[in-house]
Amino acid sequence: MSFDLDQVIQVFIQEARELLQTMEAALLHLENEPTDSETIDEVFRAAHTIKGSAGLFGLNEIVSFTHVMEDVLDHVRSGDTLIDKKLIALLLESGDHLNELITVFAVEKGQLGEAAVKREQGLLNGFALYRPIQHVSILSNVEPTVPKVELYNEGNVASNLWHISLRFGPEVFRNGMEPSSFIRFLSSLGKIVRITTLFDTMPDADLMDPESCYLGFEIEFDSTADKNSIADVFRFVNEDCVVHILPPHSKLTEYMELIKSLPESNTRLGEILVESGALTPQELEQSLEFQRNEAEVSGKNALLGDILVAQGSVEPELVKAALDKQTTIKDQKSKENHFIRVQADKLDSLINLIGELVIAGAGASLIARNSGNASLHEASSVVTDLVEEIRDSALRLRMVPIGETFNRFQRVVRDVSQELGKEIELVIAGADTEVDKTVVEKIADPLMHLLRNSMDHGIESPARRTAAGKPAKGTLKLNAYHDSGCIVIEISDDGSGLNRDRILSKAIEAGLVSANASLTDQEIYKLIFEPGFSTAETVTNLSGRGVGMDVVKRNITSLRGTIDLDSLPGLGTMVRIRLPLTLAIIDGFLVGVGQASYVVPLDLVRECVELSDAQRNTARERNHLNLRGEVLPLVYLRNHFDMPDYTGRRENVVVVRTANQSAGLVVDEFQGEFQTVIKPLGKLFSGLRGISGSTILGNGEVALILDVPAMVHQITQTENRGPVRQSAAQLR
Amino acid sequence: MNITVEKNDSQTSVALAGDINIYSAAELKNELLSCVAESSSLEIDLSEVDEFDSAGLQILILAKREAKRTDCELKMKAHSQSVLQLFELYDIAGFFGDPLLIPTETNVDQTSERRNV
Repeated sequence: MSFDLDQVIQVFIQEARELLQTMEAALLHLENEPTDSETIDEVFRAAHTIKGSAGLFGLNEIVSFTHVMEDVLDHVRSGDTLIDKKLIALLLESGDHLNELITVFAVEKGQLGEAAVKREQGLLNGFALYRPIQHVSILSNVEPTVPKVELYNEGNVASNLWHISLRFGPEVFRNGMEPSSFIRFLSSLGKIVRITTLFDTMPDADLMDPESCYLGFEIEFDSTADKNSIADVFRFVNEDCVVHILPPHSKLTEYMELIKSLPESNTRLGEILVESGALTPQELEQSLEFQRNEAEVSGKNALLGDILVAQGSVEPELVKAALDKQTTIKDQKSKENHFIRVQADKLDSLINLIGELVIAGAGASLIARNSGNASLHEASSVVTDLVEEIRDSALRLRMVPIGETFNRFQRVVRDVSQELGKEIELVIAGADTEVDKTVVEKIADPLMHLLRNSMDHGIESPARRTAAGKPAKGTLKLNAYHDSGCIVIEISDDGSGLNRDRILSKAIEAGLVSANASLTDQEIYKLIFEPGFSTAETVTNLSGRGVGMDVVKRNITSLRGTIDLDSLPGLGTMVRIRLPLTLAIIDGFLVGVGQASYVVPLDLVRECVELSDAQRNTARERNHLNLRGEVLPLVYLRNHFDMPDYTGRRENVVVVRTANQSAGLVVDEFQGEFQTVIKPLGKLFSGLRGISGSTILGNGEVALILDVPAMVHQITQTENRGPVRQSAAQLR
Repeated sequence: MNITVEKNDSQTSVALAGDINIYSAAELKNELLSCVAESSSLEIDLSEVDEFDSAGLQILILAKREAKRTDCELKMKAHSQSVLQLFELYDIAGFFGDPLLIPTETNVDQTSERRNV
């Protein structure tokens, strides 16, 4: 019966780290919008949850520290304390401190070092300034309270039932939810005495969208459950549903508030409330009368809220309900409930197995095809289809949006820009772009290097920026998008751009290029990725030591990716990283050259063309093909891999496209689509150009996977230097 | 979902069968509204309805409302059990104003039970 505490604490650690990240993001957001109550709530919730779960594990050090944080945040939340830059800095630091506390107590189970103890004391002292004299927090006060002062004689309504008012939003059906299931669930907590179904918001027939929900309900509910449990019923639909819950014997004013806040007309709602027994006719008359009077006096009936406040009768429930209504709009955090935590290695072994399954399946289908047994063939092709689907969904399991990684940099940018005395804003786009988890993990470090580099060398100091007529605040942009089987990540800044001449002179000085080499701008820019290259005049502790850019390049190459650089002097620099979406299994296109088979990643294949006899000769002479008036450079795989000349009847061309460059691969035959499980080549072959891996075919033979980007790059390089222009001219 | 429409002078009979839900709501809306527009008296047979959800209910509400507006007499009959259950839960039978036939004994038990939970 014992359960593994270690495993549970792992979950705590991971969850706490995620919460700290959320908190950090929220705090950074608060720095710009200090009054955003939703974000304050988010920070509070994070601290509160960490405290709660740390308590479960008896991590008292964490609990006592978070308690202080939570306390201060609570005052911020209730408006007693105003949040300012200093407090945000303090909270950010506390987040870092908490991270360390978690490492020390939950991971290492050790003791806090002296420096950390000192820091904690400092933080606590800092918090003390923001901590007014203790008084009861709102959270402990969730019970329906007995009404206090009463300004009006009507006071509380006679009804001893809960009144629940629901307005389902238009998206409810499309989000796969069904209002009736919530009402059925509600009836498990008590008795629905009366329900009125409303559809007044349904527009005229031609405007009515059959897939939108227009339903609302007024429910009289008899139950001994408390407000939280009733509210919990609707928790899953919170984002799409406006829920008002009034406890038995609520104040008449609360009903008035309710009537006012709902979309239907006051009279119509009043009738419903009377009919369903929530209000007596007298009570309704009184409240409507009251509202009319007030309206006459003030000219507006917005006064009700003021009175409520003046009366001191705004109950926590009401505030909470109102807050809920607002938070639900943006609060995506509750969606976390729909996630299952799975250990990454379990997923990896699943992907491995599916890789084997794909290979075994290919073998089976090959045998089936050769057997000539039609029904066997049929059956095996069904299996192949399914395997393909399984493969796709398994790979999708590992896909995560890159935004999480991007958001982590907000803090880095903030800290570094302060350190450098520059004003820099990080703009993030394409955060939803999904990419394999392994890729995400490995890309974080190189991205960090590039960002720091841009901040340090790219973006100028405010004074220099203003002098150059640019806004004092520099902009750093992170963008991600999908492009033919790749994810492209762009890091751009609006800084000074790369200094072409200085790079060149440094490179010549360092002996990387010879003094009389003629290089294109692109090639010069790329020199900064060479080992030991740095042009910064001063070496800062951020960058400038010449290690970094070459590491970045190596990391990206090891992910089968490429890196490009664009720069305009005075306007900025853009680094473009192109990475394969997944590292495990791809759709491939199988081509045959001689006895061997090669795999071209299907995402890169644009079309297939047959080389006619007439074309063959001219094409071979010029290494180019005239494809609908475009010049298509050709790669003869046979020559590329040093195979004997081809004597067969015909040759074919696979047109591939990568990074806006097209090229044709000349092969003997097309062998069709093939699911390719990428097996890495041994260390021995790491220097091999033009091959990115291997795979196993159905018949057990090995096929090499072509590194198409590298090949295309290679021929466009030779092309740029060689007499391409001439041959292009000849073609016409 | 299956919709069978039978036209007889001004009297139209529509028989709905299968699932009346979010997936068939759009189709049902078009069919029912054109029936309402073209006839002065419409009878909808619900005996073969299997799944019935709130999206389906909305379309029936819309049809009834349109019918009232255009003076078309719209009646529903032979409500299947799934339809009855939702009508009961939402207490909306009064809006449609059709007599509800409760087919079997067990049915009565089930619905009244739900009311008392």
